[in-house]
Amino acid sequence: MIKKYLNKIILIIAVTIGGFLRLNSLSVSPPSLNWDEAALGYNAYSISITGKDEYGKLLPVFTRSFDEYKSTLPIYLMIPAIKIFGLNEIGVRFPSALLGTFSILLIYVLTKKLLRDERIASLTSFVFAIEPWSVHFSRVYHEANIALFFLMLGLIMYFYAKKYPKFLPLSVFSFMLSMYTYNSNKIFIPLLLIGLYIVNKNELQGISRKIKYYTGGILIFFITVFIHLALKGEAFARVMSTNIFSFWPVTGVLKSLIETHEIGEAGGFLLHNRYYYFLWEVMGRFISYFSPANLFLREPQEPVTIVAGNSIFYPFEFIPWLIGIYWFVNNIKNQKTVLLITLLSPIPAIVTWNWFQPGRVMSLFMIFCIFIGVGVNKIIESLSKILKSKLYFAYSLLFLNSAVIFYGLVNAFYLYDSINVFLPFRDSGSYQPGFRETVPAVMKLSERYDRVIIESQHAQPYIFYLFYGGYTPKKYLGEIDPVKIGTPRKYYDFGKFHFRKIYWPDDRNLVKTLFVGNDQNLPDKDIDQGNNISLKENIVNSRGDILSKIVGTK
Amino acid sequence: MKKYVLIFWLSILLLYFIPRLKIDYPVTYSEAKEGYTAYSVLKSGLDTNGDRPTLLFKSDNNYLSTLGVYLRIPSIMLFGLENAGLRVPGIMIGFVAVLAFYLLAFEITKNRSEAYMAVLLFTISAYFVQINLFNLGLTLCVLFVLISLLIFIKKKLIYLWITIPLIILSSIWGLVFAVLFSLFVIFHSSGVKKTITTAFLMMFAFSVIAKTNPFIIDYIKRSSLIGDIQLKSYSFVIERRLSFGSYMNSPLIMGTTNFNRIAHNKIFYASNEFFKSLIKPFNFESLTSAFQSGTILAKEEGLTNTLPRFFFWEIPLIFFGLTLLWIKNNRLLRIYLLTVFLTAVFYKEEAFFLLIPLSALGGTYLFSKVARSIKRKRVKYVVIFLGSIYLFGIFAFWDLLMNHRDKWVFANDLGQFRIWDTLRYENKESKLWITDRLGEPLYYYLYYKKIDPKYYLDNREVGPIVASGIKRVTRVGLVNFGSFKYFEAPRGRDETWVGFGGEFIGGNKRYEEFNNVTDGVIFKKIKDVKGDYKFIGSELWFVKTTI
Repeated sequence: MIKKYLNKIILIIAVTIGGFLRLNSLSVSPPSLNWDEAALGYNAYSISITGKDEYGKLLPVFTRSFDEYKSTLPIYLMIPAIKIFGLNEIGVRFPSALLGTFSILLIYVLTKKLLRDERIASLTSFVFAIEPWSVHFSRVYHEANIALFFLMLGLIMYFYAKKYPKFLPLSVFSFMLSMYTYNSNKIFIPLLLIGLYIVNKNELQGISRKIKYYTGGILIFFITVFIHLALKGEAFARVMSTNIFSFWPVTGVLKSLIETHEIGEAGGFLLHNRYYYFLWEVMGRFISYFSPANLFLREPQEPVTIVAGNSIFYPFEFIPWLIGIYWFVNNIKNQKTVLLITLLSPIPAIVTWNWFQPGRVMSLFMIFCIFIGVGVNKIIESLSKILKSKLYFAYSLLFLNSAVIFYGLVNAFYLYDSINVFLPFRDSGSYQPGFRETVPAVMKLSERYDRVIIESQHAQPYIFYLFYGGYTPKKYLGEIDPVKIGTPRKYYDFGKFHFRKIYWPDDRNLVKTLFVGNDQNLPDKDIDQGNNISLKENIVNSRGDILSKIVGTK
Repeated sequence: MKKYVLIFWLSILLLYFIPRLKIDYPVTYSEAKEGYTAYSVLKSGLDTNGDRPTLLFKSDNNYLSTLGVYLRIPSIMLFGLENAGLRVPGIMIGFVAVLAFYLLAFEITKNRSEAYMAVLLFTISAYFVQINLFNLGLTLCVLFVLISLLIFIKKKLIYLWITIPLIILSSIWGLVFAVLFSLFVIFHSSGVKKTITTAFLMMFAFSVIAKTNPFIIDYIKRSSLIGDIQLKSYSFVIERRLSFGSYMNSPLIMGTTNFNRIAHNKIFYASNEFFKSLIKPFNFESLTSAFQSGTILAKEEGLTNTLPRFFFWEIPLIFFGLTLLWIKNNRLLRIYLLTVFLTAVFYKEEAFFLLIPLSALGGTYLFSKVARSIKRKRVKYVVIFLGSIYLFGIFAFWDLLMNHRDKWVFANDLGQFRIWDTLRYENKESKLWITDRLGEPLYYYLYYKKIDPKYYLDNREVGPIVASGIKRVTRVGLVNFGSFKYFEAPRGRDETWVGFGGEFIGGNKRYEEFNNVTDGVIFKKIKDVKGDYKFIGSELWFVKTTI
C-alpha cells in the first residue's frame, strides 16, 4: 500500500517540509531587510498607493532604485502581500517564499516531463525542497528565485506544448516574465530560446500558424519593449556596471605580472598573453560553477547568498550528483534540453566580476537537483537489488527511501537551526542591521524637531527610513527634487531628513535638531551635561550592542 | 617516419627540461627534512634521531620518504647540501617516469600516435613539473605506480611484490594506493579467498610495523580521513554551535523538549565530515586557478597563492576524459581510477598527484574521440584552437614558475629562506632566537646553515611531547626555536632575535614606525611577510641586543 503511494508521500513530505523551511519565521531570519529588499518593498508600497515608484514614474517596467534599474515584476508580486501583512519583513518576503514553495511542485512536474520517471521526480522535489540555496533564496526576497519560478513554468509548458501546442504562447510568455525579472535571465533566456528552437526545430514545425503568430507576437512585443528599455539604459543598467569586460584588456592578475618584469612585445605576447589571461578569467568562472568544493563545501562569498554554516548543497549530495552527471553524460543525446540549460546557465554569470555568485546560476542548480535526484534513485535501486537478492529483504525499497528521507530531514533540521540561530548570530551585519529598531523611534521623536540628521555606516539609509518609517509615498514624491537628486543619484534628503556625516564641533550648535549616529560621532561627554544636548535613546540589539544613538538639541 | 619520432622525442626532451632547468627556488620544509636527513646519513651514518638508517625515517611530526632520503645521498655527495643536491634526482626520475608512461600509454591505447599525444600531455603537466622539482617522493611514487600498471598489463604479477613496497617507501601518500591496488589486482586475478588472505597478511604486517613504530598510527590518523571523522573531534564544535542558541532563542527548543540534538550530534557531524572528505580532492580552484579565485580561496589558509597544478581548461577535459576511460570498460583503468579516487578520499588533496597519468590518458582519449567524431576539415581548426591554448598555457605557466616566485612560493619557505639568507654570516658562538610563527624553523636552519650532523645530535634539546607523540627540537647549541615575547624575556649581550614585530613590542601596533626596541636595535626588517597571526604584524624584525 505504502509502496504504491511512496512517490506521492515523498512529494507531500517535500512540499510540507519545504514550505515550512521557506515560510516559517520570515521576520526573524534573515535578521533584517537588506537594502534591495527595502527598496523593492517601498516601491511596491508606493506603486500600490500612487501607481508610481519612488521616483514618480507611473507603473514602471524597470525602476531606477539605486541606479541599477530593478525589475518590477517582483515588486508587483509583492503588492498583495504588503496589503495583507503590512509594510514589514513578512509582507516583503512572503511572495518569494510562496513561489519558492510552489517551485517544489514545479520541479516535480518538470523532472517527470524530462525523465518520465515519477520516483526520480519525487526524490528531486525532496532534495530541491531542502536545498540550502533554494530555501535561502526563497526567504530573502531575491529576484532570481522568482525568475527561476517562471523559468520552470515556462519549461513545463514548453514540454506540454509538444503535445498541446496551445501551451506554446503561454510558455514563451512565462520565459519572457523570467527574462524581465532578473538580470542574469536577460542574457540566459534569449540564449535558451534560441537553443530550444534549434534543438526542437522539427517538432515545432507541426504547430498551427495561429499558435505560431500568437507566440511570435508575444516574443516580438516583449523583445521590442526590452530593446527599447535597453537603449534607454534601463534594461541592462546593472549588467553594464558589473560585467567582466571592464577588466579588458589586462586583468588584475596579469597586470601584477607585467609590473614585475618587462619582456618586450614578443615576450609579452607569449608569456603575458592578455587573451589567454582573459580566457583564464572567464573559463575559471565557468568551471567554478561546477566545482564540487564551491557547491558542496564552501560557503559562498557574496554576503546575502550565505546561509551560515552551509554551502550551496549538502555534502551528502555529492556522490548522487556525480552519479547523476555520469548518467547525464551517458544519455546526453536524449537530454538536449538539460544539456542546453547546463551549458548556457553559467554564461551570464561568467561575464561578471564575481568569481562565483550562486544567485546568478539558479537554473543550473535546478538541473543539479535533478542530477542529485537521479543519483539518489540509482543508489537506492542498486542497494535495493543487493538487499533483495542477498538478504531477501522484501521492503528494501521502502527502507532505503525512508533512510534517504530521514537523512535529508536531519540535514533540514541542521539548516533550520542555521537559518534561525547561526545566520542571525553570525551574519546579521550583512543585512544592514539596526534600521528596524532605530527608524520607528526616530520617526516618533522627529515630530518634535525641525530637522533630523542621520549618519549611517550602511549604504542607502534613506530607503530604510522610508520603509520602516512607513513614509507616505505621496508626501515623499512631493518632497524630492528630481533635478537635485542627479544622475547617478547623489542627494537623498527628503522632508526634514538629511543623510550626511555628522561633524559634531559644528553640528552641536544646531537647534531643534535630532541626530542619529553612534558613539564616535555623538560623543558621550557632551551629552546631558547641563547643556542643550540630550540623549534621547540608545537602540540596542538582543546582545546589548548599541546599534544607534539618538541625540536631540533644544 | 624515424625522423619524426626523433623530432618528437627531442621536443619532449626540450619540453621536459626547460621548466626544470631553474632550480634555485627556496626549499620546502619536507625537502629540507629529507635533504638534511640524507646529509646526516652521509656524514655521520645516523639519521636525525641518532638512529641507524632503516626503512622508516621519523621526523619531528611525520615520516619522510624513505627512498627520497636514500636517493638523495649520491646527489648530495656530488653537489653538496644545495638545491641541486636536493632536486636533480627528482628531475631525472621524472624523465624515467615519462618513458615508463609512454610504454604504458602504448600498451593501453595500442596506438602509437595516441601514446605520443599522452606523453606530450604528461610531460607538460603543470602538476608533474611541480612534483619533479619539489617532491622527489611523489615523483618516485608516480614512477612505481606506472611500473606496477605495466606489470599488471604484462601479467607478470610476481614483480608487483617489488614495486608495491617501493610505492610505499616512496611516499606515505602511496600507502593506501599500494594496498588497495594490490587487493584489487589479487581479487581480479585470484578471487575472493586470496584477497581476504592477503588483506589479513597486510593487516598483520601493518600491526607489526605499528607495534614497533607507535607514532605511525597517530601520523596516519592525523594526515587522513580517519582524523576527520573521529567522533571525539566534534564535542567542541557542537557545544560552540549550541551556545549560539542562548543568544538567538533556538526554535528547536520547544517548551521542555530540546530537538537540537537531532541536528547537532556527533554521528551526524562525523557523517557530514566523511562526505566532505569525498569532495575535498575536487577542489578546482586550488588545482587550477588559485590566482584568479583569490577571493573565494581567501578563507583557506595557504591556498591563495598556489601555483596552478592543472591548466584551467584541463578540468572539463579531465572529467570527460576520465568518464570515457571508465566507459571504455578497461579493467586496469577502472581499477586504477577507483584506487586513485579512494586514495584521494583517504588522504584528501595530497593524493591527487596520482591522477596525473590518468588525466593525460583521459585527455588523449577525449581528443581522439573529438577528432574522430567531427568532419576531417574541421579537425585542423580544433587542433589549432586547442594547440594555441596549450601553447599559451605552457608559456604562462613557465613564466609564473620561473619569473614570479613571489606569487606562489609558500610563505613559510620564502620567509625562512630570507631569514637564513640574512643570517648567513651569523656565528655559532652568540645566542640566536628564531620565531616559529613562520613555520617550524629547525630543518630550514639545519639545511641552510649546513650544520654538522654530529654537532646537531650532540647539542639538540628536545622539548616535551606537544600532541599525538610530536616532539619538537627547541634548541640546537645556542640557537633557540619558538615564539617569544621579547619585552618580557630575559635578554643577554650580543644576542640576535628574529621574529614578527608583535613579538618584540606587543600586538596590534604600527610596526613600520619602530626602529629600535628595548635593549636592542632592529638591524633589518623584511616587510610583507605573510604570517598566520595578523595581530603581530607582517614585518619580520632582526634585532641585535645592545646591553
